[in-house]
Amino acid sequence: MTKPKWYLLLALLLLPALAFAGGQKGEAPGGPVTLEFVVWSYNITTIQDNIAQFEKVYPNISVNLTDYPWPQYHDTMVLRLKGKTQTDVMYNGEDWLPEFAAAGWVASLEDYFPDVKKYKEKTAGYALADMTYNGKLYGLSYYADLITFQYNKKILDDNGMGAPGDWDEVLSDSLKLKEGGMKYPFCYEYDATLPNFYSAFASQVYGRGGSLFDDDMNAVLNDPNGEAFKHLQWLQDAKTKHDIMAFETHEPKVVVAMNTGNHAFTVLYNYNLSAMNKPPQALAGQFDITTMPGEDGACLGFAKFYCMTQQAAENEARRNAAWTFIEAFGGGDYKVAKRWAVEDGLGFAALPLFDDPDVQAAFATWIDVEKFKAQAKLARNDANPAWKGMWSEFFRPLMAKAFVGGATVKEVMDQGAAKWNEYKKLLGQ
Amino acid sequence: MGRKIHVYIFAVLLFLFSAGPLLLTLVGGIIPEKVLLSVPPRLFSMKPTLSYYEYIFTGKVPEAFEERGALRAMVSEEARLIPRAMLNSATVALAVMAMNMVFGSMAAYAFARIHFRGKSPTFMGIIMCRLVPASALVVPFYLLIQAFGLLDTKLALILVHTLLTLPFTVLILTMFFRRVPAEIEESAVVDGAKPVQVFWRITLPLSASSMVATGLFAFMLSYSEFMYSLVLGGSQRSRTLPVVMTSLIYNPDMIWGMLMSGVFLTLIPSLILAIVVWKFVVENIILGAMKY
Amino acid sequence: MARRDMSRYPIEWLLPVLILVFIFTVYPFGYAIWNSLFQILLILPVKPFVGFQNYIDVVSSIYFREALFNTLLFAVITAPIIVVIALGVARLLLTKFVGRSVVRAVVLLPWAMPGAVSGIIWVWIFHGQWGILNAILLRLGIIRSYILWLDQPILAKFSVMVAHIWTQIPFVSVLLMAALSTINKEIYEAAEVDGARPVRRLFSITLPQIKVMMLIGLIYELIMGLTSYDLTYSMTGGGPGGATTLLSYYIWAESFKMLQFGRGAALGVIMAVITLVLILLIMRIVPGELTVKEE
Repeated sequence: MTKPKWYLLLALLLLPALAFAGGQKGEAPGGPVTLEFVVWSYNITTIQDNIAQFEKVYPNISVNLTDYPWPQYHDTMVLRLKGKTQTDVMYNGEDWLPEFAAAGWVASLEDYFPDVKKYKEKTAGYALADMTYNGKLYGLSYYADLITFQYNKKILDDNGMGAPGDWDEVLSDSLKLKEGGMKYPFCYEYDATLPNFYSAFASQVYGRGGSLFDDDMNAVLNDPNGEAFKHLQWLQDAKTKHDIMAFETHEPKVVVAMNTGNHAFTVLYNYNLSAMNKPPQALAGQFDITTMPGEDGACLGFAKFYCMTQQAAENEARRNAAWTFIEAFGGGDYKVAKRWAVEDGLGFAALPLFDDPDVQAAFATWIDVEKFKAQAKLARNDANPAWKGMWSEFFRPLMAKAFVGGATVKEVMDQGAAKWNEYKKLLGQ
Repeated sequence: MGRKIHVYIFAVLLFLFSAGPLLLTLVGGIIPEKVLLSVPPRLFSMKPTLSYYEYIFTGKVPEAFEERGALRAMVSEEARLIPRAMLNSATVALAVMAMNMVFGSMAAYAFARIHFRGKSPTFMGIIMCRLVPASALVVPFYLLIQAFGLLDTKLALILVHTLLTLPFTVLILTMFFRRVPAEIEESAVVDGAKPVQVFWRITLPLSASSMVATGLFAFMLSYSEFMYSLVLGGSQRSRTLPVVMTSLIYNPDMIWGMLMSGVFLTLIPSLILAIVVWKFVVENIILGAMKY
Repeated sequence: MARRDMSRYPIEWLLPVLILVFIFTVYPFGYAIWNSLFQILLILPVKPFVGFQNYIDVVSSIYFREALFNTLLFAVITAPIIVVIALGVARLLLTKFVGRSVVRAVVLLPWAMPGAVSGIIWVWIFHGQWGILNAILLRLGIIRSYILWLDQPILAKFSVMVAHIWTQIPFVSVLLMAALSTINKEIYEAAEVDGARPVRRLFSITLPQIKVMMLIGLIYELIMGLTSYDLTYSMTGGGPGGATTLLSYYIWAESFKMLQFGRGAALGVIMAVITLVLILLIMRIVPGELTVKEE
């Protein structure tokens, strides 16, 4: 090849480098701020409406909304934050906060705006714990919810059964229903790729009064006398021995399956009950929650919240705008949280809303409000150290194997505990 | 004539297999939710309804949602995003198809008919870039697109999708162009035609069916691509159909019937394309056959 | 064989393709391979060079063996089946029959569906409790009770393969239709004159003529099978108990869920090597000319 062609090819190779030579755009000093707000794709129209109302009150802050589908939200945020794409306020969750905080991507509100502390006493305990890392508060709640035991009340009533109080009763009720022709009374959300596959398990363990980790953040799930161990065994037996369990890979399908009338029990995020119980579902109105079976009756509570990024925190104008935004959406008079509760059945962390008549009236159309309040009082949050997300990703496929008898409970629990302790050694302070 | 029976049986089986699942979504989109998933199925015990489609295009909440005077119907708002996403997807896919057909055929012609040093390594280089799974290259692709300032644009998707399809297009077209009888081209050259003219007047028309095949390939791959559409997009302006559909599938407010109507809608652009393309193909294959 | 005169490098024919490929290949490949040699755990600030440790960790991890087996099984079984069926489909669609244009249009449609969407349709078909297939089979009296297509390991593998084949047939059919239409009719006519029967014609004339395209189809489907993710996971989530886990999931999961970017990159490289080996194997077994010579 002649010389000119070599230069051409060299230029082609260097083209990508030029792209990076561009560099970040400069920040306009003072003046109006555009906040980059990232959410997962749930009811974007409602969010946009909330944003429009906010922008009217604060005309010098404009909000740019970006959304990613819920199942891919965490992963896409990892990519986005790692790539340093401008992000100011984002949805965050209890299992991701420690990860993102340890990676230095999100900033503590308490550090920059001590005023946020006044919301602590108005926030449900489990939600507050979920929004706190290293003793500092990182956000204000978007919504908070419980993982509850939901059942078809009508079917149980028709069969002369009351709601089960413990897991032995769940089994005996199921066997009775099975005799009556219901093949799989327990519909389980079974998908190892979803974080809530683990959370639902934890919630059931809490009902029994057990724990997977102790106060020093050591793994105790593999204690054969512990409730976690016993419950995984219960689940394995339910599937492989008693054959009372059917699997669905995601909650919308559980909602659909429950509405075929072929199942009686399930354990899901609480808001699914509103999806199950509302028209045009075939069996709308037949479902309710009951206290999580087990001695304690406790369940898992969790919070999703508005969080400020470290990127925003480093720029004065942005962080002030971010705080104004977060307070308007997650604090203040809880107007936004109330709207989510009333219109979409999303749970909330704000204690005042539990007694709000509008909220109660809206919830009453799909759930027993007193039972809900009682269950919320018993809710606990899960342990969430920096390695929780990664460990959960490791542990869930093992749990999935145990369910179908592909591994013994002991093997699975031992491997889970070993991995947890390994992470603790590597990353624990 | 007995042979014809085999043909029809096969054709019917093929139709059932290909279209069956899609007809299912058609049915699913018009049967009321109450009876849609009953076991045993009693699909036709209630009147079919077009209310889901109405909601998707106009936002009018289907009556079934308001039956018991619920405070506000929890209808999945995501479904309303389908029409715009469909437009985005179709736009991107058409552009990718055009880029593939134009640039891919040019490169393929060079590989098939021009003799030059460095042909083999260049060819291999282009083909090999599809060996590494796309999911392993997400981070560098993202950083590149971000550096070009193209995040959340359709252009980014066009570029990335074209890259994902070009290697195959070039490979396929090279092989097809080689099969064009050399004598026809050579006689044109003898008559004084330049390579561009040979390409345009002879090679392309005689390879019409392969151009169609690769054009469709590029369109379909782009139209159905999910991963890069997800990470490189961000707002409705670049959101494509696969991403919206995934949101829909995992949305807790999702009603099965609404989901099915959304799915059925996604077929429409490709159905239109298929009809248009086959008409074109039929005319050209007949033409092509006569050339031989 | 006269040696042709070499033309100069036809840059004007190749430039657009080269630009695109260079920009999006050189840097990303380099990035991936470079990263695979470091331990990059996103929440730790240090990124020590670890050489091939990532590769060793990935191969000895708890998921690798089963996912590798599933992935290879999936690709190696579906690819040939797709090509064979597609050949029949292509042949059919080139024959004249009433309603052909309808069937032609319809055959293409599975191609346009994103993997997750196809998955959801096939879940409705294969579902163990409210699936259409079960309902039909029961009504026809072929089965006594519903089969758990997605809940038993082997049946689950079968179900995702059927769904995958459904999505892939259109492409190879179109490819082979194009290939078949390039066969010179006169060869067939000569064979008929010689009294050759259809089966003989198939093997002696058709197959050799379209060999290369079948090979391309096979290789493409192999790659698709090895990298498939959306369809399977939206049907089964990798279950039951790991029966349908695929390596492609882990490439993503290692990086974005386990936050181990080095290992994710390593797994990507491993998959590239596996793909290359399989392709070379195929090219050895099935004769065909897929290279371009310099002459």
